[in-house]
Amino acid sequence: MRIGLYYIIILSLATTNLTAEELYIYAISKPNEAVKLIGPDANLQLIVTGKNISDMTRSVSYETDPSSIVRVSKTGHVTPLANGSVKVTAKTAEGLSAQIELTVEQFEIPQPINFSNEIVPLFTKHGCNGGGCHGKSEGQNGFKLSLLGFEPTEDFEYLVKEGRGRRLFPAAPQHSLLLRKGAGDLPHGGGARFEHDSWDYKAIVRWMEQGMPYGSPDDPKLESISAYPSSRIVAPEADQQLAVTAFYTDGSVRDVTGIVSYESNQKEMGEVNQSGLVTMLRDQTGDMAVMIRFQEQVSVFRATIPLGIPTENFPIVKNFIDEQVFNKLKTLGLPSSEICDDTTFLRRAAIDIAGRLPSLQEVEDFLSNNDPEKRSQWIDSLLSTTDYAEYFSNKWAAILRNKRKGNTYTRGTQAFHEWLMGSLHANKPYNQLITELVTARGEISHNPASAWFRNVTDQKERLQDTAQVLLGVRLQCAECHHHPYEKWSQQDYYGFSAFFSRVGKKKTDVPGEEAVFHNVGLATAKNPKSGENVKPKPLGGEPLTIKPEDDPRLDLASWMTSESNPFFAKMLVNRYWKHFFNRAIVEPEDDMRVTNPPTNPDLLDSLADHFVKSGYDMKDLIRTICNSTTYQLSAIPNNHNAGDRQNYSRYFPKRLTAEVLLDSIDGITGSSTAFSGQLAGTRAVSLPDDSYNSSSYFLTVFGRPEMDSACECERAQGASLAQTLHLLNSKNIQDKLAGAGGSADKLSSQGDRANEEKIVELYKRAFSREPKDDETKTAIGYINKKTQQAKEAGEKINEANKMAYEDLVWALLNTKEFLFNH
Amino acid sequence: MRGSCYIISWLFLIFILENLVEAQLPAPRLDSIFPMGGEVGESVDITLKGADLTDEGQLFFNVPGITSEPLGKGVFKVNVAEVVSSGSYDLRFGGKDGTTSPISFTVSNREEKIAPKEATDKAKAVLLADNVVMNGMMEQGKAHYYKILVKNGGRYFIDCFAERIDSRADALLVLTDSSGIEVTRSRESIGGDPLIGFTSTSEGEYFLRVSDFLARGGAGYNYRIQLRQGPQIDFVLPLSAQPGKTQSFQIFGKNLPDGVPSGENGLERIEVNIDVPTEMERRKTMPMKPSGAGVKGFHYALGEGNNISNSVFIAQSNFPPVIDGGSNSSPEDAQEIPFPSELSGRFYPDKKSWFSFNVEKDKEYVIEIIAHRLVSYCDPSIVVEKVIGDAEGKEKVSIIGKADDQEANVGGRRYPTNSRDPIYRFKADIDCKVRVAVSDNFATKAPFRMIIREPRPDFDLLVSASAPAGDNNKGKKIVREGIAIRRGQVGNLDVYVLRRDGFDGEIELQAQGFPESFKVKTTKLEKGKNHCSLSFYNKEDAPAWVGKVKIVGEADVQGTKIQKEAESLTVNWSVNDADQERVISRTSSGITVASIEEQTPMKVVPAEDKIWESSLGGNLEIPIKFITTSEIKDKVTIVPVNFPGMGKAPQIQVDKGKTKESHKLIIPLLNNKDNNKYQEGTHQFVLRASTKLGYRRDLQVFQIAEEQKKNATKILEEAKKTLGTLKKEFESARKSLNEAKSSSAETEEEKKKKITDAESKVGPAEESFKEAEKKLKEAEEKNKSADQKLKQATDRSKPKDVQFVSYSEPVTVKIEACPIRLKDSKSPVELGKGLKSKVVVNFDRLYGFADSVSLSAKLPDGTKGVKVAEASANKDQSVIDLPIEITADANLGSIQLELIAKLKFNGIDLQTKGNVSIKITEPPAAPEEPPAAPEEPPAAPEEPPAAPEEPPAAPEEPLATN
Repeated sequence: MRIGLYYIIILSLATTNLTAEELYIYAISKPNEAVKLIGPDANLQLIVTGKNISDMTRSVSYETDPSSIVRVSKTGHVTPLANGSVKVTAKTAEGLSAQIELTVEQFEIPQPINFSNEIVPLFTKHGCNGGGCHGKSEGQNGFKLSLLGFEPTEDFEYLVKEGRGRRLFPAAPQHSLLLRKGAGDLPHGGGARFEHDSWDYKAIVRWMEQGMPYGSPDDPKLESISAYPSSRIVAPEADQQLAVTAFYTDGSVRDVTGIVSYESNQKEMGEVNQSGLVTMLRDQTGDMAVMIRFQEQVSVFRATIPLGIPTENFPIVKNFIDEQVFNKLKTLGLPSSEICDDTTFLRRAAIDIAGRLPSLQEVEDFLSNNDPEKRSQWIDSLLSTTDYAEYFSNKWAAILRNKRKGNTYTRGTQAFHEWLMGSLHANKPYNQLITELVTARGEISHNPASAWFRNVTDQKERLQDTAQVLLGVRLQCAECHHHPYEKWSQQDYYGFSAFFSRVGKKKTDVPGEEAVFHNVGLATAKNPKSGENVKPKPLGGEPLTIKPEDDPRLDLASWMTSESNPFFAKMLVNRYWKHFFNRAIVEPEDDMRVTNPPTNPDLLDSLADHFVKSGYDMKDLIRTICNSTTYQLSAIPNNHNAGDRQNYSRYFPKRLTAEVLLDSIDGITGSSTAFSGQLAGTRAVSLPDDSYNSSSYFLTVFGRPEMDSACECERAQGASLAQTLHLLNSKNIQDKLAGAGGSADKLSSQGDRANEEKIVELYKRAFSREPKDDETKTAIGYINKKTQQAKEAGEKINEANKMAYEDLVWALLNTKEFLFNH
Repeated sequence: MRGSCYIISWLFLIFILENLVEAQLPAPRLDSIFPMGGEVGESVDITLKGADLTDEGQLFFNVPGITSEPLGKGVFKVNVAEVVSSGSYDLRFGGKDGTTSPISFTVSNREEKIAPKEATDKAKAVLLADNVVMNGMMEQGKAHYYKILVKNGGRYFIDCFAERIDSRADALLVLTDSSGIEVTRSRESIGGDPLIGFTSTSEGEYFLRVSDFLARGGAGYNYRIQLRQGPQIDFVLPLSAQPGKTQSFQIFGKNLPDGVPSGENGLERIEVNIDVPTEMERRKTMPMKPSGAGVKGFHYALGEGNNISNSVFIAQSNFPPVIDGGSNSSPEDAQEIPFPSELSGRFYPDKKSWFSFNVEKDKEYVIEIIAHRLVSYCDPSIVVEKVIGDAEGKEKVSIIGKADDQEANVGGRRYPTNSRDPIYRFKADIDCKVRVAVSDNFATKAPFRMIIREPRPDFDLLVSASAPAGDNNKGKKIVREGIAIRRGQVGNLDVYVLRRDGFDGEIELQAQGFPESFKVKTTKLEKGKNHCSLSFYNKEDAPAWVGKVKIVGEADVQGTKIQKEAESLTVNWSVNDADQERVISRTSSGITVASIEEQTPMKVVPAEDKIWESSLGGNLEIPIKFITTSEIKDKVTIVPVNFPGMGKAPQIQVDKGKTKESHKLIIPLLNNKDNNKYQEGTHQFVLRASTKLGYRRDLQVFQIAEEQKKNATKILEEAKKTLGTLKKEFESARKSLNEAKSSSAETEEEKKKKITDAESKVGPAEESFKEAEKKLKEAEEKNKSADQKLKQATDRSKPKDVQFVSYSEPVTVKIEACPIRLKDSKSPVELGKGLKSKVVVNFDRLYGFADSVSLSAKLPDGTKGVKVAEASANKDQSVIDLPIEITADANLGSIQLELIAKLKFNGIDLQTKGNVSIKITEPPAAPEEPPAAPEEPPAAPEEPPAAPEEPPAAPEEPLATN
């Protein structure tokens, strides 16, 4: 808690003192204390912020008074020269100035070096212990370090004791193999990693000179780090210097700007160097983040790069979503597209909510409806049908891995899908749905949710899938070592694993189906590194003491679904947001970590808050999203937002999924696809499991997931030549086009209807709109041409007419307008 | 029905409804009926599907008042009398090829209809009227659609029966409102079947979709569905009652008359007094699984007529009822219950229900939960704590035990008898309070019974027809039973015992109800065993018969004779691979056996009817012989089965062409191999012979047809011959007439007379000729008909390969403990003090044993002055001289020596014991006097008194052994 308080205080200092007209110097210090540099090797990064909250650290000049106490470089980097206090003044060319007072203490006393806190991070900073170098499990050329320095005791062993101490030479540290290779004095596969006169080189020398101590057990341990500033709007091509504070268990703070590791998450938008200088690139609008890693802790700096176009006239704000999105667009200076037309909305919502095209009747009803609320009514109508539940069950079934691994899985996968479908149709609150899932007990027939414990077969998969699917936390890395991009340790991993340690299974009278039950006993999971039997522990929480007779999964569910859970609601809204916008607020949607910040944190928070307050009402969430103007924006870009991929300034077209496309083709061609074990008329989006992929080439080639993993990324949404060829000339599509009783057959045989009328019908069924004049003209012309050719050739007119309609339907279903939701 | 039998005529060629799918001898198999029930007081035509269901067969019901008449091609008219009460009954088919296992036939007091074909068209949804039972057969990939007319605010129930009445259908109901919005769906609500309860929100049409959960269909995927507005009982408390008493019950459900809110969402409650019947019955609306055998009770429903509720089953109890008070979710709040008693309650998800009772030191107690056996879906477990108060009044609590599932399964995958109900038995080591926590691992709200009582060793019996033999897909194929015992064939019933409270004694099994044409021996289910086969032998001249039999077991349980009638079992439907499909079995109304008038096509029996003997370590050698009426087409494998103590059964294989040669089944009685645990004694086992046969179906019908053809041919030939003769006579008469007419040598008068005479012969000759022609034609017709019949019979009786398994009658064997028998001595051997002598021990070598034997003797405790050394007999010797020395301090008088003979027989260490009496006498008066032998004195005084060849004391039987 103390650390958090410091963090708040420092941030508040930074923000409350900044106005557009001032210059401000920031330096790391303990609250209510002067900024200190202790020892001859201390250093400090100043951050100078100026007009419009822009970084002036490198554009100001620095003066010190007296000049003998510290040295300030042009980059704002301060190093001590002697004990005493000093005033540092930063001046702009325009004459603005700001001052800060620093104190140097114990200049004559070199500070003892802690191996873990000060040496190991250098290996991380210079990439020595990365997964591609000495950090991989077998090491590199005989020298091994722990991955990213997560096991400093092992690193100490490797460096100091392994190889009979040959890597270090305390008598003459500069001649140590470590430094000679690291500085490039000797051939080194990784090249020179640091200069001889660098602070890092000298730090290692000092450590050896001090006798290569590991450090005392009483030495303070790192608790967290934070970046200053944590977020900024940074103009294109502008810089932002970062300062990074480390907080220790003894309450001390330290500037570690120079020894942490930085990594940009959007290298096409901005870069960062080893000194913590972030540089924005040209012509990129949006957000980027810099991940900062120090020992086991991570932090992030988030930069927003504005476009800067005047944005006064946004479409109407309908709910908080629009407020948050438009606020962001205003900040960026990025104008949004217009609101889409009715036909586009009708089709878009039907596909996104119900996984289908609107029927001809629905199109005509909607277009003839003048009620201003008809869009909301359409959304409600879609949500009330089982089409919605079937479509979203399909989505959930995939990530909950409802895979038919054999014939004996058939009943279970069907039951699990039915359970999902029934729950979604009944709008079971999400917290209840997930509680039922993770605490499922009993037989699949009676409690289908328990099938999930068959889908994810072991404790490891259960914890990892729970974390990833339901909390957006990818814990997999922490199974073997500390998570490289997160704060999660192996202790966290096995603490979370312990929740599933008492899941027992019993035989039932149904082959292949086992009943799940709580196997009474103390819930623990063994941390293989420490050998400790770890108690159940929520992520970021304290270990729980759970009685042996109580099912720990109930505690897990209780923690997950509590309103204060930082992951649960955000994960769901982020996932659903991606469903509708094709781009999650945190992308990928199930990798929500500090180092992968949201593009619009306020939007994410608002959505999650709204979702929780609604009672975890999933239909309400969808209703809220779809009723927003943001969702109803046109997909057609304006002059500025064509490249926007993050800020929802327009609707992002997306390919129809394999199932929706197959159903849509069946609909437009008037055909049907039979699925074994399913009732006639079952839609592809209603299929319960993966088994139909193998029997349907269409579903396979268009990327229906195999349900092998918990990631929605398993669904392949990219285009391929095989897809194109299948749509253009496969027997499957040809049969659908030419089938008896199909659309072409029916339309061509309706001699009492004008072709114009039939073409209108086809367009409404395919695109939910009427054809344009030129489209009608082209279609009629083609039909007439085919008829005329048949007459001239003495062929049957009816057949020619039918073929013409087949061609017409074929052409429609091969358009991008048909293949995409837009 | 008990003891009734039905003589079946089978002398007609029959038409088989279904092709044989099992490569084994014909035995009827009833897979499904449709519709699956009928209305009280009405008739219904039902169609049977299965195999070997012959047209002339009959249907048998386990209730009087339901009769049937065949309409041909597997269709029967079933008449349900007014006196029949609604419920599910067992229907069996019995025909010339045997009898089937039962299938449910449900009787309702509502109008019954059959779903029309158009029900599969969603646009033509069929009206499901209130209080009408609709019978439907699902089609693969299709659903049935019904419309329901509802009133605003009406509360309706849609009850679908499928799994509960032996249908394979896993029914799924989906209800939508008039706008097509799904209102609710149901699948596994009650007994594996769906039940929808809903309140309409507007007046108009609702729509119901009925389908198999996996879109399967066809024969066997049948259902019965009804819409009603009457009361719906969810459960009653208590769940059991004592017979013959008037007892108060709380009924929980919906639409209950004068029901008040129960406190649980949507559930009402009423209290009623029920006169509990004295005679209890088995559950019939949701038959028991094998694990529930022994549970009896009565059925109860609220209301009457069309307003009657569903029926609930209230079990019989031996104890006063106690109801779970509900405020006992912590140990401190444990509900005190009397001992003994039976408590009825419900589980609370994720909570325990606590109860307590007092126990007395050194007494034994049993805590038993009955829940899984009641409702099928729950997983109870119990924790039992001992609570002792210390001097300060504080409670000291320790867990004394936990119990979960009863995993013992004596019925295998066909009739699993394991259950999830816990039972815990303990002995109190102190007077104290015991607390029991009851919970459900599956977190249901299922009702449960908890019985606390003293241990009561007991047993229940189950019986089933043996699984059909043949290719059973390595034990994975589970086929519904049919029984057809041929003449000379041995049939088996499988008997299982559910042993209660530690009873492991022997049970004597008797079969009752068999006619005299069967030989049925009493069988003993051995101590500790849970399964045996009860064999019955159909005599060579047995008539056809179908009838119900019962198996009664009697055992001595703690000094009391207890008799139990076995409950019968049946498999609900056949499955091809039990590793892939679930097997469901249930108790049924009885076991039916049929004998048919056909010789068994093959049997293998011992060559003699005798008791076969050997000893441990030796070989049982049993010559066998084959009796066949069909061609044997493969090796015959012969295996002894149910041989007590046999680990791995030896088997012999006989080539198909060598069945007339002599063969011998050798059973090595070696307890050092194959996990054998043979024990001495007299035992029985049967010979199982399996092979492929060229079975000729209805061979007798063929033989009759052949005979008829011979007769027809003979008649035809005779007719032809007669016709030829008469033709000649006719032609001769006509010739005579012509001759008479053309005669010129005689007078006109004479000529006229000749003509008249000739004419008088032509007429009758012609008449006879024409009559013969007619008879020939008739004979030709008959011959043609006989040809056809013969052809049909020939076709039908063409040899067809079948896998056949035969069992012999029980073979009796006697196993001795040792292959030698020590011979008795009739009088004691007299030995004088101070002498060295020897006892000559003779023995018989048996069962081919020829190796050496060592012999020692054990003296009675306290014997002094007698020393006996060990001795042995070499190979092939049958006498041992046992050295013995009587010292001077020996007491006078007789003592009994225990002889112990040890040997090794085929590597097995064996021993046998015997006795010999010696009489110690004063030393002989003079050394030169012979000690005993009156006629043959010893040759020399220093020699022992007995010559090696002749015993010294007993003139006739010098050797003393047992």
